[in-house]
Amino acid sequence: MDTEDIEKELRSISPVKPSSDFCDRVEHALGEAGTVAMCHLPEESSVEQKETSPKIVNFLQLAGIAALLVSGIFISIELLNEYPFMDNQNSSVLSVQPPNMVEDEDSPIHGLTTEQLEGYSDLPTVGWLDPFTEQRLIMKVDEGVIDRASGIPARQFRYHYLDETLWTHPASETRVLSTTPRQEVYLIDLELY
Amino acid sequence: MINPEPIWKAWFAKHGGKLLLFARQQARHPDDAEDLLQEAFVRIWRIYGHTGEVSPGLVYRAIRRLAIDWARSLDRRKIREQKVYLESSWFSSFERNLEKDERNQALIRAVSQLPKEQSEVLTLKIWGELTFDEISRTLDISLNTVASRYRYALQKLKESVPRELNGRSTEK
Repeated sequence: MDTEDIEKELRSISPVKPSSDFCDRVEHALGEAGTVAMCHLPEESSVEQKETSPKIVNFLQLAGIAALLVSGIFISIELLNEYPFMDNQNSSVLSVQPPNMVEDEDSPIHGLTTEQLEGYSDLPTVGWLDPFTEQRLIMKVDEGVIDRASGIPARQFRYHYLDETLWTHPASETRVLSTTPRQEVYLIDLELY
Repeated sequence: MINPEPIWKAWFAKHGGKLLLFARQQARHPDDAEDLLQEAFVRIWRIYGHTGEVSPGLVYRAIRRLAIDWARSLDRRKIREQKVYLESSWFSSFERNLEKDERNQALIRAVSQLPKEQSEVLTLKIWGELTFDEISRTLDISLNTVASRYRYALQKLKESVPRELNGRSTEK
C-alpha cells in the first residue's frame, strides 16, 4: 500500500456536516451580515417569472394605471391647448364643458373615454398581459468604514439595482419597458479590538 | 429574480463539515469546536460576506488564531484533563461507512495519533482541500515545512495502518 492509496482512502472518509441546530446558531450570530449576499437560482427564477404573486400583480396593475393616468394628463394638457373650449385669456381652468366629454368609468382620466385615450396615446387600454418584473443587481460598492452616531464603527455597502417592468400587449405587438434605479445601503457593525 | 436564500448557507453547507473538523482538531475542548467555528466564520463573513465568495482559507486561519487565543486563557491542568475527550470527539467528526468501518476507524485512529503538527497539515490538505501554499499561510509556516510534514504524516500512516488492522484481526 503506497501513500497515494492512503490519500485516496482518507479522502473517501467524509467529515460530519454541521447539525441544523448549529447552523441556526450561526445564522443568529450572523444577523444582518447573513442576508447581504443572496443566491440567484435560475430554476426558481423561471418559476417566479411564470407565477407572479397576486400582491405584485395588483401593485403593478395600479402602477400601470398610474402610468396611463400620467400620460393621460399630458394628453389632456395638449388638448386644452388645442381646443377652443378652453378659456386661456381669463383663466387657466376649463370654463366650458365640451359636448363630447362624457363620463367613462373604465377610463383612468376624467372626461376622456377609453376610446379617446386610445386614439390620443396610440396605446390600447385593454388586452395587456400581466407585467413581467425583474430586479437586476448592477453593482455593489464597498464604501469603507464609517462612524455611526452610537460610536460603533460599521462597514458600509451600497447595492445598485435596476427594477424593470415590462408590459406586453400581444394583439398590437406593443411592449412598454419601465426601468427604475434603486439603491440599498447595508451597514455591518464592526467589532472594536 | 433574487432567491431569498442567503449565500452563506450554501457556502456553509459545502465547507462547514471540513471547517468543523479542523476546529475540533484545534480546540482544547470538544465543546469549544462549534463556538470556535461560529466565531471565526461570523468574523470573516461580516467582512467579506457581501462579495458572496469567501476563501475557506480565511476561515481556517481565523479558527487557528482564535484557538491560540482561547488556549492562552485556559490553564495547563484543564488542558491535560480535556485531552482524553479530544480523541473521542475526533472519531465522531466523521461520517460512518459500515462497509469500510473497521479500516476507516483504523485510519482515523492513526491520524489522531500523529503529532499535532502533522495531523493539522494532513487535515487541511485532505479534508480542507487547501493547497500547500494556503496551508503555509494558514499555519504560518514555510512551504517546505508544510510539504515535509505532509510527507511524514503519510509515511507514518502507511506504516501504522496495516499494523493496526493486523492487530485487530489477531484479537478476533
